[in-house]
Amino acid sequence: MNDREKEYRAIFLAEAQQSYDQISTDIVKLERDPGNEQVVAEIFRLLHNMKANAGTMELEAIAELAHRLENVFSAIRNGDITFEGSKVNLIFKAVDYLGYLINNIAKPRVQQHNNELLDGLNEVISGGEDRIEGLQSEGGASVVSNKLHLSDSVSISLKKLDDLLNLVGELIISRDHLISFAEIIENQQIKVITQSLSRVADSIQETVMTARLVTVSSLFNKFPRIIRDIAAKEKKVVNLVVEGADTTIDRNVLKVISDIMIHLIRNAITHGIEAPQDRKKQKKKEEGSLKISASSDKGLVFISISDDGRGLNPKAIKSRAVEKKMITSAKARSLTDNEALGLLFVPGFSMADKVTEFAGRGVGLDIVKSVIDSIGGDLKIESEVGKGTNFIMSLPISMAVKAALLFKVGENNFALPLLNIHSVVTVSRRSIHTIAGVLTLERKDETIELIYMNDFLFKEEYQTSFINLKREIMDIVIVWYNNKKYGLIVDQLLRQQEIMIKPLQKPLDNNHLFSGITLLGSGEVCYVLDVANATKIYEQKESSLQIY
Amino acid sequence: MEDKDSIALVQEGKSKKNEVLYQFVTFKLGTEDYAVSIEHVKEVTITPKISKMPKTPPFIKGVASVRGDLIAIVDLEERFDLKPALKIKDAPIADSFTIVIDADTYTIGFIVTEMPNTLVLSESQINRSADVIEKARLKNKFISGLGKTNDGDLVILLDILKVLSAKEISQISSV
Repeated sequence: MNDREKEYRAIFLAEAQQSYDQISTDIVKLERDPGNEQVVAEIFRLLHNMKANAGTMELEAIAELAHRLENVFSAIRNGDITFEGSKVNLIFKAVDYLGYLINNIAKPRVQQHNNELLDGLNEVISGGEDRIEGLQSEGGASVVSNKLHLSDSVSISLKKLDDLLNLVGELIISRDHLISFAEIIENQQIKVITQSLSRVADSIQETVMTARLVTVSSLFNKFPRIIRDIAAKEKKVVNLVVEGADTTIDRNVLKVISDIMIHLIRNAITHGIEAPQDRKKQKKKEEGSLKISASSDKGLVFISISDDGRGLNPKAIKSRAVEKKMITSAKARSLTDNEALGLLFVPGFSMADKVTEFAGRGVGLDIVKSVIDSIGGDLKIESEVGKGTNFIMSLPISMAVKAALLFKVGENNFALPLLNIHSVVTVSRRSIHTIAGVLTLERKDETIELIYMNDFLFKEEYQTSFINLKREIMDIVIVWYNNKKYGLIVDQLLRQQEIMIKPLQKPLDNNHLFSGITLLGSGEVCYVLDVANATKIYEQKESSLQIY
Repeated sequence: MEDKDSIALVQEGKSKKNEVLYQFVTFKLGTEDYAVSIEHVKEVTITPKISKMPKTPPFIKGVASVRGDLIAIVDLEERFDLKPALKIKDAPIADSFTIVIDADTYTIGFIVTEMPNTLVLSESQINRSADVIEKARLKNKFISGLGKTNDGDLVILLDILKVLSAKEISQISSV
């Protein structure tokens, strides 16, 4: 058994014990109040889940017994039989045996079908009272030991974990305070103490963070069925390949992306992968391939969904955008293929011509993109016509603590999550040009639009002119948004650091330019820039200046 | 509420007519004295270092750290247009005080130039229905009454939660 299987088994055991306890309590309740539909439904649900879970864990005895019990409760729910008389004892016995199997999960010898019980449960449904009576008398020794079993794991609410993580954030801030202080007073003893405090604080932070992590498989496991259903509906043949299912990610991040992953999968099958006969004509394998892979690197998790379908056509996207009057045809011509793909993220843009049950209802990539933005992640598209499309999400491993680059604009400190940063460059004034009022950086073979942060943040009206750029050498942070690069001219680069982001409180929470604030070790306030909204605000201001 | 009142009673002794007593924190804005109910006041502190947040209206002075909490600091004189005409420049923020208000779901601070005080008023010292208040209510709903101190001074009682929940605050702070 490998580690992952062990982990699954431990999770199953904890859940099964909990369900068993609940079922035991419920049937006692039911005995007193046989007509209680709510309790019957609850028992049915618990048994149903247990059956499914035990099935996937290949625990046949548990699965079978849960299945027969489920049938019994289904019959009770439908009113075919009532929970009374001699049936009650048999059901109690069966539930006890279920508990016995669960508590001895590690002993294969015990994991045997109890045929008497199984047959008895069938009789309960078919109504053979007499035979049940008979069974009762011969029924073997009770399997319930008097030793009560208490679970080895406790379940903890996410709220508590969130609170704990927040407290850890406070601890980190105090630690940073202390470190700055120790540096100022140059006391050796304090330095040593701070170092050991640092280590402890770091490992607490890590432990709390890992406690929140789950493997992406808990989500990915649901995909085969979903894909099968969509493919069947769309009359397509799809082969799913999953990679890196044991990558771990914050449970909240996973929850946020679950819907959008299904959306992207639907898109890939409905619009990406061609019908088998079309694929044959193009000399592709009839079976389309959908690959979902996850990996992590330096505090980021990358999840990609790629298909080998027809791909996205930048030309078609551009003409669609012009048709919808989102851009001028002149602007369309100036866009690179990559930037054209970025148009798919603009609200209201939908490529689908056909409305199906699964996609093309106008809930497009713009929603997907904004959901990912909301947790500080990013979405990129790579696509080649006729070859396929690849959606790559980069996500923070955790929602609250992020690696960030700190910089100064004017007197103020700002942070930018590393997730959003493409690169940092230092350029001389000569490589910066003003083209039609827009600052641009000429670099290698590309032209990057620049935003002069000092003017952007502190001027009433953002209208950059060259006059404001007095420095000869400038630091520029290049960020990615909507498949487009922007260069942010900052006043002074500080350092890279893990920061604990606090959400904005009233009355500041409507300021969308920032996703939160954090306190630096020096006691100074630092604003965390929201790249998605900052570039949107910038684009709005830009477009209000241009005539479309 | 009962608790607060009984505490006030203990502190002040019972008023003559056995009336309900209210406790306030008073401060000066412009030329007038204002008061807020003490139950919303978390603390009064010397104004900490404030960092101006870009793209916020001028009356939001910025964000400051008060005991590790990052809170918005608001200048109510500016918010209510009460800056004395002669005062051309702001008093140095370092010399001012910040009243930290606990507004249920969030914390906020506002700057006052003079040291705030506490004040106890009995129900009979509070006028909740004067003409001016009615008029003021129509314009802005955050004045809850007028108080008269034992020395005969007038204080304007603010319903602080209404001052802060005023929609316009959030509207102007949006970019």
